[in-house]
Formats: sequence, C-alpha cells, structure tokens
Amino acid sequence: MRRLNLIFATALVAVALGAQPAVAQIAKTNGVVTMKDALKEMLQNHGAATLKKVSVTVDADKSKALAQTYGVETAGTYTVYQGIGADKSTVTGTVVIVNEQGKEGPLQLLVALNPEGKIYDLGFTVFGEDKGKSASTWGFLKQFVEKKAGDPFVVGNDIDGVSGATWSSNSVTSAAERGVVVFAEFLK
Amino acid sequence: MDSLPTMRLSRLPMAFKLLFTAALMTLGTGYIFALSNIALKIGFSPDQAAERYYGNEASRRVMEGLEETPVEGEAGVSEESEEFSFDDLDTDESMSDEPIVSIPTFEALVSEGHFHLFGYTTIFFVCGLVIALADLRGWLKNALIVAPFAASVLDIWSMLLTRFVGAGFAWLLVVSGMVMAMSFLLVFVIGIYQLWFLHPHTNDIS
Repeated sequence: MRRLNLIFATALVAVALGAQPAVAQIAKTNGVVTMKDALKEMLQNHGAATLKKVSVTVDADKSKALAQTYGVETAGTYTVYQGIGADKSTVTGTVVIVNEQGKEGPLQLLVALNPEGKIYDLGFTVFGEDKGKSASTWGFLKQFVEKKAGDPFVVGNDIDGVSGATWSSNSVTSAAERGVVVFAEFLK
Repeated sequence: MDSLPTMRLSRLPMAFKLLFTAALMTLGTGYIFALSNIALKIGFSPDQAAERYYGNEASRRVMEGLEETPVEGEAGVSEESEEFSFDDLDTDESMSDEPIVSIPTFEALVSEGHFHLFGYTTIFFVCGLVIALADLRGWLKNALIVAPFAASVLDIWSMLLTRFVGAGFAWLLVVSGMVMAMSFLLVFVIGIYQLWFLHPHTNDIS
C-alpha cells in the first residue's frame, strides 16, 4: 500500500510539473526568432487566450527620474504585447520589446515578464552583433531569469559578461533592465 | 648579387627564398581561413552576399525602424489595438515568417572597411613584391600587381553600395572577391614555382 502511495504521489508531481509552462524556451533557442513565434511561446504557452498591443512612451523627464532610481536610461517608445487570460481581464504575461544599439548593429530584445514583474523568458528578433553572438545564447541569458526592477543588473558583478563580447554583454544587460523598469513603472 | 631591376625569384639567396616561401605559405593559410569564414557566415553567391548586406524587405523595414526611435508625446501608456487572437499573428503582414536578417549599419561597414583595407594592402604588397621579382611578361606582371589592389577597393565600396543603394551590387562584391582570390592563387603558384623549380639561368622574359 505504501509503495502504491509513493507511485501515486510521484505520478502527481510528474503531471504537475508537466502542466507547468516550460521556462525560457525562447532564450534556449540560442539565436534569433520571429516575433510571432516568440509571442506564441512567451504568451500563448503561458496561459494567454488573446493578446493586446500597447505602446509605452518614456520621455526625457521621466527617463531622468527613472535613471536616478534604477540607474538606467529608458527614454524611448516601447511596443508591448500583453497576454490576456480566458477570463478576459487577467494579464497572464507581458512582453516588452526593447530596441538597443549594439556595437556592430541594433538589437531587438523581447523581455517576457510575469505579473509580478519577474523575467521568465527572453528572445532576440534582431541581433546585429556579429562578434558578440555568445551574448544571445542561453548560457548568458539564463542569468536574467527571475530578475525584476530594482535588482542589480551590473556586468562583472552579478551578471557574468561574455569573454570577448563586453559591449554586447552590456547592451543585452541594459536592454533587459530597461524592459523590467518599463514594466514596473508603467504596466504593473 | 643582382641589382634590383635584374633580381629574380629563381636567383634569390636562400634566406630570401625561405622568407618569401614562409610569407606565401602563411598568407595562403590565412586565405583558406578567410574563405572558410565567408563560407560559414555568408556564402559565395551574389544572393547570399545580398542577404548579408542588403537584407530582405522585412529586415530592411525592421532595421530602419530600429535606427530611428523618436520619442513622441508625454510619458505614458497608449493602447495600440483591441484584443486579438494568436491566429491573427499569422495573417499580420508586419510579422515576418522568417527571422530578421540583421544588416550592418554604416558605422559597422566603415569599421569593417578600414580594417580590411589595411589587411588587403599588407597582403597584396607582399604578393606584389613576389610578382615584381618573377619572370613574367610585362603586361601580366603589371596586371597581377594592380588587379588585387583595385579589387580590394572595389570590394569595400561594393559592400556600401549593396547595403545602401541596391542588392544588385552584390555581384560586384562577388566579382571583386574572385579577382582577389584568383590573383592570390596565381601569385602563390607562380611564386612557389619560380622560387624552387625554375632554373636560375632561364631567360628573363619580362
């Protein structure tokens, strides 16, 4: 009987784990993805039935104020997709699209955040850094999972930079931090 | 020892023969790595070169959007759409089916250009020195000295033209690359042959 209970409990845990959306599936692709694939994985596979597109503007004054709080410049216009649950009212997840200028070319980072503002996935739709490609891989991106606004985002301190790709490491870190700050200040 | 105008590869002292051979061998190895790098990152066809430097319509649209991100209006949130289904993403024309190919910025091309031009000049100066000392007809000698330099300048300009003017200039990129590669191959073969296999008393035909 005890053995049966153990098997039943193990099966329950396995089912429960299987029902959880897999975390950071896009970040694990180690490369550039299409916007539609990223949104489906980041939002639809995390419980959203529909989605909504919003735009967030951070002007110079607000950016200056946020820089004093978080230490990162956020001025710009951000496109944001919100995943809406089947009840039509719950926001199940949010994807903030952050454009960042790299050393060799632009980056477009999609930062997926849960309702608490913690990162659960990241993905690039544009990655213009030829020499800094390692900064687009899971080995680097996994450091941002679970981070939220107010957490330290400092390369060389709590974020291990990619050797030989310092600029790209800084650009990606800055983009991820801008994503969480925009969410915390405008969308939470 | 011969004076400079009559100096020939086949009559060089052993130390110079070894110096030129080592230089050609090292440059040859470098060239193989460079070609492998192109094969792995871009490809050799004009279409692949055009995709790398011109991109496609979707990538150009996205990249141009990324280059100009003006901040308009006051800080805040505005709704861009009503709720829509995930299936609508498949019919949205602004959503590309293919991953966006990142095309280089002007700054990146200038950086790549100056880096390559100094490298090309060094490589083809050594090649020119080898050919200047080879027993060759005057016109062939002059062509082999000048052609790779002209092609290297054309190579840099064709990157910029392909990126900013039109994908058709990718042909120029491929042709200039071929001219440089063929020139180097000829210099290598002629150089090694004349350094080690040509009889020192063969008549100068230049």
